[in-house]
Amino acid sequence: MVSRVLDLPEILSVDAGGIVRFTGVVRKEENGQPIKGLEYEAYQPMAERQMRRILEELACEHPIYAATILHRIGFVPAGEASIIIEVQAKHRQEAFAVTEKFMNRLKQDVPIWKSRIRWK
Amino acid sequence: MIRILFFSEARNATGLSEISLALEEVPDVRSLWQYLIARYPKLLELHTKTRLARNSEFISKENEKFSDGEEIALIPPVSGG
Repeated sequence: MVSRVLDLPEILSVDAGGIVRFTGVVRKEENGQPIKGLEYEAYQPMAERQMRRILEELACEHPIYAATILHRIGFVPAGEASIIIEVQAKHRQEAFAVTEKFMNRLKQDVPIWKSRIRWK
Repeated sequence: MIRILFFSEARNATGLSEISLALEEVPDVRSLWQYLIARYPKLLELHTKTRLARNSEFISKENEKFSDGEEIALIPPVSGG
């Protein structure tokens, strides 16, 4: 979890046949009104622990080589990334499955919150 | 003593990020909620949708008992990503 612009350089695993990267971006409006950005807060030790656990659970069902998750906390301006997840697997099926399922699980079970909207 | 951490809406409801309580006062989940709602009535409406975490793990048992030195967090509905 970091409080700066997210950056994830591409690190290729020798065996990965499929690499999926998802970026969640703060949209420029909320309920039709323009916003400057969103404030994120986290219960950091638990958030990291939960993300790791979720990945381990998913990897049992969909074997993967590696996964990297970066979540930004603090103020994230509209148009910038709040989260990047990259999954590397032997085939694309596992990479897509873990990416999608992880995002769904994050939005239920990881203690991170949009604590404030900064309106324009 | 046990530490109680408030996040997001729970922090808005109490005006606090954390408090410390004697284990004797709040030995388990039920007594903790009773104590908190009596002291911070705005927590009442959050009660049913807020989960508790104990040392960074969600509490699954209905009336889990706490131990001294633990960290309990109120986890309102999350909204990460």
